[in-house]
Amino acid sequence: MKSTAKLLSFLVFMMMPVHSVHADVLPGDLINESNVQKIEGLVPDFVLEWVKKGDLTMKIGELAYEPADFLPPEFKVKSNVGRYKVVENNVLKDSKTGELSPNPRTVKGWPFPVIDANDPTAPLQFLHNFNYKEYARFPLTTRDFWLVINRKGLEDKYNIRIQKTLFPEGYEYEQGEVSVFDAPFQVANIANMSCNFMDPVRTGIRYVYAPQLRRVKRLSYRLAGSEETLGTDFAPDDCWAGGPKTAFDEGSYKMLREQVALVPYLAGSPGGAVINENGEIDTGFAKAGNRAYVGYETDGWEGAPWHITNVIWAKRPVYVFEGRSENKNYRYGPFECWWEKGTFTHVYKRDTDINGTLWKGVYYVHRVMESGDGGFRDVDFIGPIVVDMKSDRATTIVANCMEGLYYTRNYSKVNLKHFTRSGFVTFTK
Amino acid sequence: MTLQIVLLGCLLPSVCEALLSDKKNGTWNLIGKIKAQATFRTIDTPDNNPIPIEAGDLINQRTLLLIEFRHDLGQILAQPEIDYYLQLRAFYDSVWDIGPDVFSDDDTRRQYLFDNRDQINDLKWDVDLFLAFIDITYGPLFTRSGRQIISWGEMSTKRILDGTNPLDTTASLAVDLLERMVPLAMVRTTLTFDNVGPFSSVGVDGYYVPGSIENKNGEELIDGSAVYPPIGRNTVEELQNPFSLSSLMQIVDQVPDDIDSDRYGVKLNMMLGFLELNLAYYRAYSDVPVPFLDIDAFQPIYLTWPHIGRILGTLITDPSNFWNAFLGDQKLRVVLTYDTVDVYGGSFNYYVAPIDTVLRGEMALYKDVPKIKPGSIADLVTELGGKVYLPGGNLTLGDLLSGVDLGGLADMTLPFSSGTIATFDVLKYGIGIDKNIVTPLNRKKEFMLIFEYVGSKIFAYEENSIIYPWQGPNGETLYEPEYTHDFIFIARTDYFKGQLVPQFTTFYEVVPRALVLIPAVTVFKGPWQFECTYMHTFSKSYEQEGFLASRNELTIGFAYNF
Repeated sequence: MKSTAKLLSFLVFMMMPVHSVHADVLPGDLINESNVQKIEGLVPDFVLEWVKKGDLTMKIGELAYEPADFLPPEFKVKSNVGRYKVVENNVLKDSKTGELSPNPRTVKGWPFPVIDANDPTAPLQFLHNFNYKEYARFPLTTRDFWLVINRKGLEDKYNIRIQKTLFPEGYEYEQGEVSVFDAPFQVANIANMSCNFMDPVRTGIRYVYAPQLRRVKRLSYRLAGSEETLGTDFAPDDCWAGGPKTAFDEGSYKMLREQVALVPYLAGSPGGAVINENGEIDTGFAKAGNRAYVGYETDGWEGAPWHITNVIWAKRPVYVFEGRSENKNYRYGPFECWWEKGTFTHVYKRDTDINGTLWKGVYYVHRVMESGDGGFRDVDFIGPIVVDMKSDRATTIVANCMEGLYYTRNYSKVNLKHFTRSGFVTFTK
Repeated sequence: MTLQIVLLGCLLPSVCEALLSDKKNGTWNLIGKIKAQATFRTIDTPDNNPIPIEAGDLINQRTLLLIEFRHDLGQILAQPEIDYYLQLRAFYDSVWDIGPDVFSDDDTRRQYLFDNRDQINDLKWDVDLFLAFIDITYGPLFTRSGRQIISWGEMSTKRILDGTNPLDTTASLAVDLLERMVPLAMVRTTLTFDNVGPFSSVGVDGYYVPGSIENKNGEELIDGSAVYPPIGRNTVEELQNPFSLSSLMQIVDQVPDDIDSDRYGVKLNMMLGFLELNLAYYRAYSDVPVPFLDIDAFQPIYLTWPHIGRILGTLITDPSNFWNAFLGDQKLRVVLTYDTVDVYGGSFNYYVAPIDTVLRGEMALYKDVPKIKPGSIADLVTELGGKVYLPGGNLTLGDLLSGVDLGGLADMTLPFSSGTIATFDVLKYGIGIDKNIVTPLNRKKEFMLIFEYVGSKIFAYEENSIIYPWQGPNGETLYEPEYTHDFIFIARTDYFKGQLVPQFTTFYEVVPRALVLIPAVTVFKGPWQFECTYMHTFSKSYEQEGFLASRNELTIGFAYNF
């Protein structure tokens, strides 16, 4: 009887399909269509689909460092635990002062250094953390490339300059942004300027310079965040794994789960930042190295030409939450957001159309930066890489590709007049 | 052209990116576009058009090259920031060489009394530094020096406060939007202040166009081009009548006015919450030239009896030479007069957050705008006749004809006036709203809708005192009204990730009930761009935009961006 049971057990074991073995990967694995089952459950469905189609080959790696150790010092302390909470309209409230949407100048470190996944506002805490971390680097200047890539390769290459700042005390607005397209000709000299409040319910101002009209035009303040921009696949709200960014109050979110996932990190050791003679931190590859390579420019790359190729995929803990916009005109249906635990950086975003069908897969490649002298450390990301699954095309935004200057709160480096209606004429042609 | 495009398609890169750029620091780039475009008239011109154009005729075939170089020099020392910008423009309109005979064949053109091949050869092409300026920013102070464009105001189509740079109207739809405003050499300064009283920012913008350097008030129009409005057709046959418009135009020497006055302006910009307010003053040149007879330039004629005999003889035997016999080599000098106009105005825009709508408005008072008074043979007789001395030298032709009934000639309106130039104050005003809406017509992109109303009033107006520089379809004189009212509607969206951009523009003019429809579509594919625009006007009268009813046209164009 015992031997019969053993035999049955053995037969049952032998009859089990091979792929029912628990999905798992090991550092050094190369994941492609032949062993895609290894990453099931570790990535969103769209990444699985890319691998199955041969669009993406994933090199599994192991980080020789803990990314959170590379966060700036103020983001390592947990002094803000319990101080902030999310209240009505998704607004951040300082429990200590009672202030709503506190100015980032007054918030040191993460507003939510510890997030309880069971807290119904947990997804919003990730998004607030993201925003306040971003503000911490202001004022900054970047020169980026927006690469529109189809199956055959590069289609459009846009050059864009962006300057963002926080306003010092005494100014009406709290945050300002100017962006200018330099090339190619059909978008050249289009410039945008916006000034905002932290409070999502308070309305800011937005202007655009339209070269064909030779005119600065007032625009609606609220961006149509789910509408693609200038012929790309990128919608403004794809800049993060979240919902409406300029209409923050219109997003509603629900935590789904905590899990282990494969998180893309730029290959190589931490680096890619230099502090120049002016005290500015330059994270652009032109000065600091750590360049991201895209498929169409990578020799031997057989996948889709839009993916970042010098990436390792490391197992990391993440949170997954779902969101939707309460605005009936929002072009995305429910979207799924994956965020890394510890660094509070976004990893994946799954956009659906209004019928709930998968539309776009978005991912963000993490980059751990450290200046040579160790005086500057940060965890940042490259991207987004927005793949439109329906039109089989992608837009890869190589953020900080050429130049990424962080002025480390040195406002003397920024001409705040550029962020006024009058001073915006500087960018007109 | 098709073959050229196919060849270009094979040779040019299929990636849309800067031609050259600073790949390391991104401080400079060289970009541009080449565009080939053709415009066809889709309606026969009326009989009183200077040249006959039939539906289907090519009226412009313009090839345009724009090359732009931007260089950010960054901060020189700690301050200031310096950058410069150059835009080279080259164009050639081949309609003057390969188009219909009324444009390309000199013999045909001479039938309509246009004998201007030298002018055509001079103006049908050009290579110029269209924009060229250097920017210096030092803290709150921004200066831009060089050939540049300033555009004030809020309306999308009709100009109210926006009058600094003249418009290029030489080729209707064939002129690219980017070259529609004519740059002027000027110095511009903007001084910006933060937090002034209740205002979050205040800016003072000023410019100065030195008359000694800048002598442009628009682009020169080729005589007998397709954009000539219906002003009467000059034909060899009509020359037999010495008092026909054709004959009179042969003794007129039209000369451009001197543009040598300084132009300048200042604008105060204020931000008060969501409200942007602007107050402006500027001095510019008038838009529409007034053909004005230069009496002083007319040399006195001392008639002798043999001279009178020759004049009368020619009148009987060869009427087409009547004026030559009378005036000899002398012509009437008609100056296409522009005058400086002082403009006072203001504009605002306001974002109405609860309904996510932008509200815009502007108003401007144009002081002493020169307008075209209807000239008459009687004026001519009075003013020139006084310089034509009859034999004996005591009596002039003017004295002789004073009080004489000129019959039907007295009712004839001349295309130029004399005496003093009539000027009027004109108030222009407009209001508009911009609203983005979602419609079932596009599930992925909003429609941008623009509604505008633009009106004007002429002060000290008298009935039938100001004429348009063109005629009605039957040669009738048209008079400017005291008030105008225009309603404008623009709708725009895009499909297929911005690769298909349809736009619909329409104007409705209350008087003379003219409806102008301008559907347009642009297709982008990588660096390639295809454009198609059609303009159709419904109007029974030619007042205001109504004269466009004789101008229905279709434009198609291909462009390559780099």
